[in-house]
Amino acid sequence: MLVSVENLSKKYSRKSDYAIMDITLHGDAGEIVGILGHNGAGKSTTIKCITGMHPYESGTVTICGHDLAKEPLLAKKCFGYVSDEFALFEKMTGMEFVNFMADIYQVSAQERESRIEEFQKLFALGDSIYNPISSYSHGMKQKISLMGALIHHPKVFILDEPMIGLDPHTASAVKDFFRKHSDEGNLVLFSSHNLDTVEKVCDRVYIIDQGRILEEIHMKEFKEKGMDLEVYFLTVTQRVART
Amino acid sequence: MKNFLTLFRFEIKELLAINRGKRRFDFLGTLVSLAISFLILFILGIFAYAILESYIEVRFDKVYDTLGRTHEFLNLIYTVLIIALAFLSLLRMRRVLSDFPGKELFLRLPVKSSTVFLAKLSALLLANYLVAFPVILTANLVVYLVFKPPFVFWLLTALVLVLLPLVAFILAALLLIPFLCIIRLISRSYLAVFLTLCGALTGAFILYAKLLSLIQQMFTLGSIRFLFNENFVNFMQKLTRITFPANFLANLALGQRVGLSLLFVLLVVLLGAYAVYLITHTLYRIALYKNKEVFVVHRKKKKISVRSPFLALIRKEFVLVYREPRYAFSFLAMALCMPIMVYSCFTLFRTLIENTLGLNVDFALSLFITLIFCILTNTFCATNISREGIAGMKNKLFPLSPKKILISKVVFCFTVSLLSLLMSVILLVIMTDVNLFDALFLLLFGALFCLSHILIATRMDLNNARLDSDSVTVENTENHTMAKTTLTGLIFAFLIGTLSVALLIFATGGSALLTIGAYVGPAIITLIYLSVALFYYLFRLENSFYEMVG
Repeated sequence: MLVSVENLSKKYSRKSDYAIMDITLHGDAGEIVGILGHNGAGKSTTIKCITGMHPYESGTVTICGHDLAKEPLLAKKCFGYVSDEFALFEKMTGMEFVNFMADIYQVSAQERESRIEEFQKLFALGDSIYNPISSYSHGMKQKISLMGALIHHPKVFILDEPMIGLDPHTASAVKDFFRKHSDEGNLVLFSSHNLDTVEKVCDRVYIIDQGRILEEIHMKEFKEKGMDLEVYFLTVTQRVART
Repeated sequence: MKNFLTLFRFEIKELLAINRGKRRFDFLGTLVSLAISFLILFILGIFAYAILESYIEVRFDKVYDTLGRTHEFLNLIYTVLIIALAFLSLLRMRRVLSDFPGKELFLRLPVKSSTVFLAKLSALLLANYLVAFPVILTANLVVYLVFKPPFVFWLLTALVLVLLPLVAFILAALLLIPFLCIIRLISRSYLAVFLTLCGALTGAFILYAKLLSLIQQMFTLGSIRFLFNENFVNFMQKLTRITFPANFLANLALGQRVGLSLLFVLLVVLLGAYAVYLITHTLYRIALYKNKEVFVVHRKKKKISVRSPFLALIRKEFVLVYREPRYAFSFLAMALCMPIMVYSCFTLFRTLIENTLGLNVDFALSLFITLIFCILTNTFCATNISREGIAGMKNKLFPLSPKKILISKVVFCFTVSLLSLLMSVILLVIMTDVNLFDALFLLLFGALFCLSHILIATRMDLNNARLDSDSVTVENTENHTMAKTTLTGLIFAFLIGTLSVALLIFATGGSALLTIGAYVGPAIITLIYLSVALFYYLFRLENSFYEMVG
């Protein structure tokens, strides 16, 4: 099990309600796992707790066998993360940023050179990688975020709303990359409210609403039954809203 | 016309800062600001009165020329005011043309670009009038009190009040294209931006030091009168002859060749206004429809270099500060200019103390001044965490201990401070009588003091930082961390400085114990400050790092 989350609960200060409650989810090698929910359902909070960006009240998060609370540095070495907000150092050039991330994760010169070359082709960045990030468009920033998160070839690749702002070509290339990365024995875990992306890409999907996991869907079986994810998602979330 | 009035009203609100996140007009704040401004103006008025009163007494070729001297005085003030207003207008115009809040919104509104442009220019002109009115009125009041011109002087002053801000505005607009070209040229290189900032800071400080020196000479000589001699008047005459169009405005105010002066100034205004319209209107249309940032520094391809995580963090700190002009100015330029500031202040105050008290307290004085400038430079460190904004949350993802991440920020700031301190001490040793022994103490105390101050500033910022996208600028730090750290540092600097100065003053009687005390006392306070800083910095450090929210 590359990612294991057990009974994770998080409450924001100044708020009486829990943002997420008793979240339990797993991700294994070779899988693409999606967390699906509408805006404010608790997807980003879950992802931020898993990555250690937000402290949590109770529960355990284990990444590559390392408890995030007890061995945070070992756990953090195992994953790469792309956030929904552009957490980028805008005064750096794209190349400097990727190189900086490689330094932080202690990637060798040879490895980083070959990976940068590979990603430059994958994301069609060209020479604009040498320009300051502040001059980049939304999509370009997303591409650089992806490169920075992947430069150390993480076993676990975590993303929060990764497809926002990407052009159709890059979005397709990213989806292909997800599959390639998981086929190499890694895990891709991402949150999204885009039903289409989740349906096409994921092996397993967790539906989240009001801070709780409502359903776990195995996409292969789901598709074999001829079910429609959109109809199912709306039915499940509306049922919860009514209760 | 309706559109113009709506936009103009919006611009006025922006100008008066009513729209900037405040629901209601801050009446009390505005009242306090106005009171402070008028107090400053009042003090400057008294100072100007003393200068003019002495200046008109100067005899040139043994003849009094009161009108000539008053003209030179008024001319100089108008010149300085025109330059200042033109510079302010240039900066504001650049903002209007390159990037202003709501630019995207204006593009979508069914309003002509020329209407938006006209509303913005009108607001800029109004801002010029708001600044110019009190200054001109004060200067002319001083002239009225000293020179006692006839009543028509006030009628002519009204003309100057209308024309001077307009002239400054037109001058700014005419200089806009060369100014933008220079900015674009400088912006191509981070080094050029940095050097320009250093130059501006040094220039401003030299000007300030000259003013202080003037005040010091005034104290020494007992009256400002002795500063004005025939050479000085000669220089003033030559200067005011070329300060066009301020000399015409001074003529106008003093009723000299009124018709000719008025005609000339009006001609300049009309021709200038037409040229301005043509230039800025075209520029504005281009700027409004330009989607991307106007100035982008393109970096050359560089070979990939591998660094340790700690070195990479330090380099990141440097790059983020060096490439942001506001940060480079607040920290790096200040640090680079600190030696000149320390040296200027030291020589100035040493002369003052020697002349007034007849004492030699070089070590204590140099220590006092160095510590004060250390605080001013390192106050920037109170943004060590918050200045990264939302990107600062990335630090929490790194597989590095919080101590390592935070200490990289401290090490970067301390390295800059130490280099600046070292240069200051070297300059003092070379240029003044500060001996090597004192210099070593100065370096040691200064370094420990800087370290303490940086530790406190960093930790205070960590405790209060909100890493949301709104807090990416130094100005937006709502927690007043900078003010709090500066105050803490100043308290300790004053304690150390005054103790050392006092002990050395008492030691002039020959007491060796007091002389030793002047070194040991500051050392003890510095060590106490360092201990407090270390305890404060390390207390629940990791918890605070992980509790930091975005």
